[in-house]
Amino acid sequence: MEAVALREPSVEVPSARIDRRAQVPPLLAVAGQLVLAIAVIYAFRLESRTFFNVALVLAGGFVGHALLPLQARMPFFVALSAGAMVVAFGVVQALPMLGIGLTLIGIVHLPLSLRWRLALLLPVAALLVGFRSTRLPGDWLSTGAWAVLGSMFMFRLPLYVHALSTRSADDPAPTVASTLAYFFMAPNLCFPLFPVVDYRTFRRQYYDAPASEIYQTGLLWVARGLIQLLLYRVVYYYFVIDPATATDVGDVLQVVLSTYLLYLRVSGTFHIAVGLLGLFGWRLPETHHLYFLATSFNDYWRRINIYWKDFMMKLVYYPSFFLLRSRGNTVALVGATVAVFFATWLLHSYQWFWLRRGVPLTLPDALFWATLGGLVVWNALRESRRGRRRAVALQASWSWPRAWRTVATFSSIALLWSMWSAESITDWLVLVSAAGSADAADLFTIGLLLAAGLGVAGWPWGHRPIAHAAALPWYSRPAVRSTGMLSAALLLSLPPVAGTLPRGEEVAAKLKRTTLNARDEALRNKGYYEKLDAPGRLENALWDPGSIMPERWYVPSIDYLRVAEDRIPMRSMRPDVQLTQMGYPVSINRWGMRDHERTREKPAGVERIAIVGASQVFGLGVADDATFVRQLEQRLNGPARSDRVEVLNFGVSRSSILDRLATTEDLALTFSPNVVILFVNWREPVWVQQDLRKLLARHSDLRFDELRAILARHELPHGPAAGLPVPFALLRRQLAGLGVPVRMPEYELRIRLRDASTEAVRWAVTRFAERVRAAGAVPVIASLDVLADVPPAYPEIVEIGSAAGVDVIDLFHLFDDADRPALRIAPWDDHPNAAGHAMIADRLLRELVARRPSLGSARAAPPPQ
Amino acid sequence: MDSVTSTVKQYILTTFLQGEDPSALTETTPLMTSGILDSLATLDLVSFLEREYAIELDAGDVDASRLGTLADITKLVHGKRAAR
Repeated sequence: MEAVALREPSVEVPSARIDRRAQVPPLLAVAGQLVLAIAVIYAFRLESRTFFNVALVLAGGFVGHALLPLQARMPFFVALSAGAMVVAFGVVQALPMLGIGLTLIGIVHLPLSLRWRLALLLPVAALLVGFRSTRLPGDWLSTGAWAVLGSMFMFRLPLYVHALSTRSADDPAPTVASTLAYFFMAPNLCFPLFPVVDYRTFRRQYYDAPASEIYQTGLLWVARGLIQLLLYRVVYYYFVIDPATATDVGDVLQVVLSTYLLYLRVSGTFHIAVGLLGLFGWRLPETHHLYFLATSFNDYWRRINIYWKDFMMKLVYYPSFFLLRSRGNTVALVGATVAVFFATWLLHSYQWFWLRRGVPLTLPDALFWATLGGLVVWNALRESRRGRRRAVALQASWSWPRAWRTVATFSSIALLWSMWSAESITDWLVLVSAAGSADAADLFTIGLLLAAGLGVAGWPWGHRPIAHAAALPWYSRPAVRSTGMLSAALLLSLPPVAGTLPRGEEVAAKLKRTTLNARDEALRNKGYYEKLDAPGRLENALWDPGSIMPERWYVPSIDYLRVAEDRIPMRSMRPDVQLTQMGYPVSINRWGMRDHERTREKPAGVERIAIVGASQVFGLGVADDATFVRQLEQRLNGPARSDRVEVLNFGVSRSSILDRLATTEDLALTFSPNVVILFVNWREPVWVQQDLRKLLARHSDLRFDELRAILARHELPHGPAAGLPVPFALLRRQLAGLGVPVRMPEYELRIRLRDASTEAVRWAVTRFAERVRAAGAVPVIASLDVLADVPPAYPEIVEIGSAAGVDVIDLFHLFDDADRPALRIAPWDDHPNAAGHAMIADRLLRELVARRPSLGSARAAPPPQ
Repeated sequence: MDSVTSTVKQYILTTFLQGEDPSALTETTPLMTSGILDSLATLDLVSFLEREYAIELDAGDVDASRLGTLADITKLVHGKRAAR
C-alpha cells in the first residue's frame, strides 16, 4: 500500500527559491513570449478553440504561479487544470470526469496488497470499457470527454502503479497535489494524443534546475511545437494528395513524403504539451528529437515519441530481457525487442479504443510494426556485435556516411509509413506500382530532393544543453530563438507583411484555415446525409470538445428525404410534409417540392424558371420564405407581386447530378418551364462516385444506357464484391481462368470509379441540355458552393457546360469577399443562411436579366429585412 | 572521486565513448537521456556492474533515476553492496 502525503515535503528545492527582484526580468521575458505564442495560436486558429482557451488559462496563471512559494505552486497548477477542464467541457462533464479519475486513484491507494488493488481495478476498468464501447449507456459523457479521460489514465495509471510498487527510499513520495497534477494535467484537455508521462520522471524533474531556465526551455518547446503545427498545415493544404490520383513516380513520392510529414502535427502537439508543463516547473525530457534525421532504425526508435519508447523500455523491454537473460543475451535481446513491438502494436489499438472507439487491428498495422520491429532487431544485433559510436558532444563537420544513412533511413521509414497509412496492402501495392512511370521532370525533382536531403542530413544537427545557454552566441539563446520563431509566425499572419512575399497573402490566408483539405473534405462528405449519426462529429469532438454539432442537427432530413439505393434518382422528396428543421419551417408540397402549391399546367402569361439542385437550392437551414429560389421569385415579380414569373424549387438535399438529371426529366420538365437551371457544386464527381459504388454493389438499375456504357468502358464490376482482391486486370483474368474467385481491389475500384464518375458528370450535363431543349426550354448551368473557407476549385464545370453548348452562371466566387462566418447557418455548417440566400438571389437576378431581357421588365423587390 | 565512480567512468569511456575527452564526462552528465546509454549500452553496463561488484540488478533498477548519471550509478552500487 502506498500512502499519499497531504502536501509537498517542506524541504524547498534551492533552485526554485524565490529572489523576487532577480526573478522578475526573466519572468517578464517569458511572459512576453507567452503572449506572442497565444497571439500565434489565435492568428492561425491553431488546433481547436479548446486549445486556445486552455492555453489562455495556463498563460493567465503563469506569472502568479511563478511568484508563489514552492509548496503552493503544485496545488495552484491542479486548480488551474481543474478550471481549464471546466472551461473545456463545462461543469456537467468535468464533474464525472473528475469523479471517475478520483475513483481510479483512490483504488490504487487503498490499504490493500497490490494484488487486491489490481483485482479491484479490473471490474472498474471493465465498466469503463462498457461505457466507452457503448455496450453500456455512456452518453452522459461526450465523445471528447471520454477521449480525454482515456488519455489521462490509459497509460499513466499502469506507470503510476509501477512507480509506487518499485519506489525506493530516494524517490519522492506521492502527494495529493502531485498525483492530481500527474493525472489531470491541463495540456491533456486539448491534446488527447499525449497520454504517456513517466511518473518517476514527473516527480524527480520538478524544479530540479533554475526556474527561469525551466520556464524558458518550456517556452522554446511551445514555440517549436507551434511552428511544427504551421508546417503541418503547409503539408496538409499544399502537398497531400489522394493516393488514388497517383499516376507516376512523382505522385507516389508526393504521397509517401506528405503522409509521413503529417506526423508533424503529433510531434508539434507533444512539444507544446511538454512546453506548457515546463512553464509550471516540470523539466520533462524532450518528446521527439529530430526524428526525420535518424541515422538507423534503432536511432529512429530512440528519437520518435521518446516517452512511448521509455514507457515500453520500462514496462516491457527490461522486464522481458531480465526474464530471458538466463537463455543468453542474444535470445534475451531479440525476445525483448519482439515483445516491445508486439506490445506497441496491441497498445496502439488499445489507445485507439479510448480515443476513437473500435479496435483497428488491421493487416497494414500489423505489417508496419512487424517490419519496423524486424528492422530494429536486425539493427540491434548488428550494433551489439559492432558497437555504436557515441559522443558527449557532436562532431561539428559534415559527414558523408551520416548523410546517406540518414537519407536511407528517412526514405525507408517514409515508405513504411505510407503502407501503414494505406487502407489495405493491395491499395499500397497499387500505389507503389504507379512509381514505374516516370518522366524527365520527375527524375530531375527526385535528384534535386536527394541532393538537398543529403546536404541537410550530413550536418550534425542537434541542440545544446540549456545549461550552456550563457556560452551560446546571442542568436542561439533559447529566448532569442523562441521570440524569433513566434514573431516571424505572427508577422506572417499580418496581411501587409505577408503581402510583401511572393504569394505570401494567399499562403498566410490558407494557413489560417481550420477546414479540411480537398481530399478529406471529399472523404468526409461521404454519406453526408445518409449517415445521420455523423461519425465526423466524433472527430470534431475529439479535437475540439467545445464545438460539437448538436446531436439531431440533420436528423429531420429523414422525414422528408426519400433515399433508395436501387434506382436513380436515389434521392427524392416525400410529398406533403410540414416540419421544423434547425429552427425553421420546412414545407414540401404535393409534388415533392419545397415550394408553394403549384399547378402542373403552366398558367397563361406566366414564365416558369425551374431550379434543380442540392441542399443550397433546397435551402437547408433557412425558412421556406428565405430560400434564394423564393427570394428570386419575389424580386422578379416586383413589389406588386404580379406573379408573372414562377420560380420552381426542385432542390433535393445531397442529390447527385444523376439524381438531378432524373428529377429534371421526371418532374421539372412536366411543369413546362421556359428555363431550367441546373445548380452544380465541386463535389459532383465525388458524389457520383459514391452513388455509383452503391448502385453497382446492389446490382441496381442504372436507368440510362449511356451510363451503363461508361461503366462498362471502365470495366467496373456490377454486383457485390466477393472473392480475393487481386490487383491488375490481367492477373485477375488469369486467376479467374483457374477458377479462383477474385475481385477488383478497393483501391483499383476507387480509381476506376473516379475516372468513370468524371465522364458521367460530363455526360449528365450534355443529356440535361438535350432533354431540356427537346422540351422547348432553355438549359442553364449555375455553379455554386457552400461557404467553405477554402473553396475547392472546379473550373472544369465551365468547360463541360460550354462543350454541351450550355450557358454557365459562375457563382463559385460569390462569397469570396464576404464575411463568411456571418453568412453561415451555424459555425459547424457551411450552408448559407437567409442573408447568404439573399446574396445568391440578387446575383442570380442580375445574371438572368442580362441573359433574358424580357425578365428585366419586372422591378426587383428590395431584399427582405 | 569515489572508486566506484572512477571505475564506472573508465568503463563508459573505453566502451562507449572511445576517443572522447574524459573531462567531458562528469558525475552529473546525463547518460540515459543524452543517448550515451541507449538500451544496448545500458544492458552492457548492467552486466558490467553485476560482474564487477558481485551485485544483482533487476528490471526495476534500469531507470534514469538509478542509472541516469555517474553519481546515480555510484549510489545504486553502494546501496546494493550494503544490502548484501
